[in-house]
Amino acid sequence: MPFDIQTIVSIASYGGAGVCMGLGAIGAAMGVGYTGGLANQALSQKPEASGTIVKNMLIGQAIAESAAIFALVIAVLLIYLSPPVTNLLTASALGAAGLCMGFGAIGSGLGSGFPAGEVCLAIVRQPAISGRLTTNMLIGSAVCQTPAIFAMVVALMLMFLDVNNLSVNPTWAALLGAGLSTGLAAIGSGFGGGLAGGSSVSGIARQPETFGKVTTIMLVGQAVSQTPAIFGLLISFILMFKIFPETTSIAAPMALLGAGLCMGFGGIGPGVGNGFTAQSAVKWVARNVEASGILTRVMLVGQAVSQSTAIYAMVVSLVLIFVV
Amino acid sequence: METANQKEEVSRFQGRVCFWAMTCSLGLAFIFLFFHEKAIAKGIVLGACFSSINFFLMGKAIYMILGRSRAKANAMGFMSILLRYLILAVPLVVGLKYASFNFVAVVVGIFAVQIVTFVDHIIVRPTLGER
Repeated sequence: MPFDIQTIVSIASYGGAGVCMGLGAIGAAMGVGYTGGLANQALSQKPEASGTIVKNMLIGQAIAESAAIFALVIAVLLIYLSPPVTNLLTASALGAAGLCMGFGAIGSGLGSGFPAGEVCLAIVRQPAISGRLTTNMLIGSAVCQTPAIFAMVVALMLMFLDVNNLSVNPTWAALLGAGLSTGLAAIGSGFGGGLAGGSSVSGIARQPETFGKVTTIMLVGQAVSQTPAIFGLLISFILMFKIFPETTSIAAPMALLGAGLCMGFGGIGPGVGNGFTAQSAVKWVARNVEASGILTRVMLVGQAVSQSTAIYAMVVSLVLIFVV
Repeated sequence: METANQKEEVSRFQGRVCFWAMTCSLGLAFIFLFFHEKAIAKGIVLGACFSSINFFLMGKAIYMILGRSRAKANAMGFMSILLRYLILAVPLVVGLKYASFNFVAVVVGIFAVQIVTFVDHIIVRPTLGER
C-alpha cells in the first residue's frame, strides 16, 4: 500500500470527520436527553398541559441539536472536500479541524439542554407566561451555542488555511494546538452558560415580574462564562497565523502543541466554575430582586477569581509560543 | 381523546413552524433569484426542506416511542436520531457535490427551523404584544 502524502491527508480527513461527528454528538445527545427527562417530569405533574410541554421540549431540543449540526457540517466538509495537497500540514490542519469542532460541540450541546429542560418544568408552574419562558429559554440556549460557533469558525479557518509556504516542522503542531485550544476551552463555556440559562428559566417561573432583571443577569453571567472560550480562540489565532521558522528539533513543536493543550484544558474548569456562580446569582436574584445589585457584584467578583486560572493557562500558553 | 387533541396541537405547531420555514426560505430564494444568484436560492430552499423534514420527524418520533417497552423505545429513539442525521447529511453532500447548489446557503437553510423559531419568539411575538 503506497503511503504517500495524499494517503496521510485522506487518513487525517476521514479520521477527523469521524472524531468530529462522534464527539459532537455526545453533548447534543445528553442535552436533548436531559430536556426529554425534565419534560417527562413536567408531564407527570400536569398531563393536561402535554401539548405545551411537548411543543417547548421540541423547540429546546431543536436548539440543543444545533451544536451537533455544526459538527455534521464540518464532518461532511472533511469527507467530501478535497483540498489541494501540498505538504503534510494539510493533514495536520484537517485533523485539527475535526478535533476542534468535535470537542467544541460537547459543552454547547449539553449546556443548551439545561434551559430547554427547565422550561418544561417552568410551564407547569406558570402556564400563563409560557411565551415569556420560551423566549428566555431561547435566549439562554442561543448564547450557549456561541462556543460551538467559535469552534466552527476555527475549524473552517483550519480547513481553508493556505499552508503552502509554511514550515512543516513545527507548524504541524501549531495547527493541532490551535484546534485543541478552542475545541477544549469551548467545553466549559458551553456547559457553564447552560447552567445560568436553566436557572434563569426556573427563576422567572418562580417570580414572573423579575423577567427583565433575571434575563439581564443571566446574559452577564453567560458572557463572563464565555471568556475562557475567547481566550482559547485568541491562542488558536496566534497559533494559526504566527509564522514559525523551520526546525529539526522536537522541542519547538511540543511547545506549540503544549500551548494549545494548556489553554484548552485550562479553559474547561473556569467556564464551568463561572457557570456555577452565574447559576446561583440568577437563582437568588429571582428570589430577592431588591438585592440584585449586590448579587451581581458578588457574582462578577466570584467569576473573576474563577477566571484567574484561565488567565494562568493563557499566560503559560503565550510563554510556550513566544518564549520557549 | 385528550391525548389525540394534544397530539394534534403538537402536529399543528410543527406544521406552522415548517410552513414558515419554507415560506421564508422561498421568499429569500426569490430575492436571490431576482439578483441572478440561482445557486444560493436553490441552496437555501434545499436546506430548509431538510430542516423541516428533520423537525417534523422529531415530533413524530416522540409519539411513535410512547407506550413501547424500554428496550424498544431505546432502539427506536436511536434509530430516529440516526435517520434524522443521515437525512440532514443529504443536502450537505448535494451542496458539496453539485455546483448548482451553494454550500453556504445550504448550511443556512438547514437552520431554517431554528431561525424561524427565534425570529418568532424574539421579534414577532413581542412586536405583536403576544405573551
